[in-house]
Amino acid sequence: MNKILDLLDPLLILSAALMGVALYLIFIWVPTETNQGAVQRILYFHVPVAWGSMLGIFVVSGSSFMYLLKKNEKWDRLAVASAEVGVIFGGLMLLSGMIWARPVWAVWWTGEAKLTTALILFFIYVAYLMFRGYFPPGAQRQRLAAIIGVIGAIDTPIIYFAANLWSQAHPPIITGPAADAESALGSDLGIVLLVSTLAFTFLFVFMVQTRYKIRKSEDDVIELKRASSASAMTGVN
Amino acid sequence: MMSNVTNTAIRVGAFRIALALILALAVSVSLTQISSAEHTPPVNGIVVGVETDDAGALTRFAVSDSTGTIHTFTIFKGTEYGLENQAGDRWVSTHEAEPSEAARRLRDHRERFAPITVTSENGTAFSVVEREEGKLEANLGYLFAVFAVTWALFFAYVLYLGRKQRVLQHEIARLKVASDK
Amino acid sequence: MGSLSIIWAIGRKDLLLEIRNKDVVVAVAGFALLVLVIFTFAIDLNQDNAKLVGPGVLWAGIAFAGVTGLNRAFALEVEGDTLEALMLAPISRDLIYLGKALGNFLFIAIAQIIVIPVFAVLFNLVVFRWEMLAIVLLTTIGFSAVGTLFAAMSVRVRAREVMLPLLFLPVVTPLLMAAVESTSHMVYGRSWSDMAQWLQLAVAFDVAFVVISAFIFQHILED
Repeated sequence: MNKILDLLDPLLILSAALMGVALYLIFIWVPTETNQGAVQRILYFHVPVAWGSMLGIFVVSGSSFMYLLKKNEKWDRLAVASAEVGVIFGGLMLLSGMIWARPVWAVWWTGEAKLTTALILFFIYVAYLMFRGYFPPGAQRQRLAAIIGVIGAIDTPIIYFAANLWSQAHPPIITGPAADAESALGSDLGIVLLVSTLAFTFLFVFMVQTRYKIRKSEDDVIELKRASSASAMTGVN
Repeated sequence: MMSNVTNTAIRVGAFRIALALILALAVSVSLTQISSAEHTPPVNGIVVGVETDDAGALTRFAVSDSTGTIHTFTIFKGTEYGLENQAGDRWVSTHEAEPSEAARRLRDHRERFAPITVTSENGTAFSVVEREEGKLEANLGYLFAVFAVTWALFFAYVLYLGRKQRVLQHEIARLKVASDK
Repeated sequence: MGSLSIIWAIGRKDLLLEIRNKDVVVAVAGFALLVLVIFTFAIDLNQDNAKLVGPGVLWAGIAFAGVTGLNRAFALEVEGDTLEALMLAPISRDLIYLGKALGNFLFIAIAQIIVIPVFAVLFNLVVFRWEMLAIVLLTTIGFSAVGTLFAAMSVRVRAREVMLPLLFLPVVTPLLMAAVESTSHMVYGRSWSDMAQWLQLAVAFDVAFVVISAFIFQHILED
């Protein structure tokens, strides 16, 4: 069996190189933001991991849908791999956001729309993973897990709309360099975010790919077991 | 049998993640406390409470600084204000001139989580202004905490994957031997 | 038989069974009442506090109690192997789903008829208004739509009692927010127009999940 956790994987090397550049940009190159001080640099971790968790949700719901349509096991493997990595990224998003909010907002948590939505989605995908853990392996587990993946995707806009009605305070999500005109950073911030996001995206893809391969060989083991027990049976006969 | 092995691996992995998180948080909390030990009068922070009398005039307000300590300030006639609204227009006045506008402005700051700087003596505020540049605390402890937690979690996950892989390899080797017999 | 009469037949079967042994309704109502009573001890209830926290306590109680009831309903189904029998019947799967959802809707609704008057007494709030009826109906439809789907999914899970709330509660959060916020508007005596957005949200949630669950249910019961 070829090694699954391949440290010479080009994706990992690319990610590590970009991560080095990103670290230099974050801690040395980019000037300190005038309103928040050094803590603002948390943003350069928070936004990329938030993006990663969003990517995770997209891939889980997309491949869950494809699984229900095609019943091909590779979609199920992709769904479980990106759910697991997505939950890790999501957890990091929540933690880094909370640690940033403490000095800047003076609270660890508020009931703001994007925060609430992120937390509820995190719980839905944790439930997705737990469901897989509790259910005996087989086609039925894959089918039911895919249903949860799809339901989570359907629920997302409803949760966001509800949370939005409920309250608002999160700084606007930065989509481009000019999104935050009042800040003293502008385009510098955009460049750092871009590099950092790219680095974390490659890391995300690498982790999903690794998890996917492990999932694949788990299936192989089950297959081998079935084959060996079958041959043992014929041996007895 | 195989599921037992993976379960133990998962449990060990989860345990490590928890341990790493606790460590990182403990270190970061102790660091922030060290860095905030040398705090001097002007208080920087976020408005957490605004109190008015029946006429709507400001009487007291509370500010939470970056360590979470709450400072309560009373007002006197000469208290000076220099506060901006969301659009950045600065309002400069004294308490004697516009006592209720001050309350409105501070409430607005509370809603927006906009930081202010307060100079005071014996709990009475002398000036209440938009947080000034160059008076920022570094809050490096928080930055460190994010960094530590991020890498601790990724590292724990990679360990978990590695363990899972090792278990699988054993399993496959065992099955191969069994099927060759 | 028309679709509606099939749905009604399945719902009525569950209801008749329930009238005989009263398992689910007692579980839901009992649990929700206990939550309410415990909160009256845990919170110092004056008129202001009651208005502030009452709606939240009521709907949190009903949500948790609803999970208990759904667990119970499907445990009965497993004990009697009746779900298998139902699957053998030549009925389209979405009708089976709608029938089961109707049954669960009736259970939770009946339990609320017991719980809400007690809530009104304990928290000293006026709740017998048309607004409340609308809120209760919309919320219960959504609860039973999502709950029936997830309960059917969790039937064969090892830790069913844990799994159902973990799946159910995050997904119904928007509905729960709508219920709490519009009840809150109601106890403060505000008008329909204040809660209109929340009620619209609840309607959208109900429509989305009834339709999608009915459609998706065939994937659960297929073997």
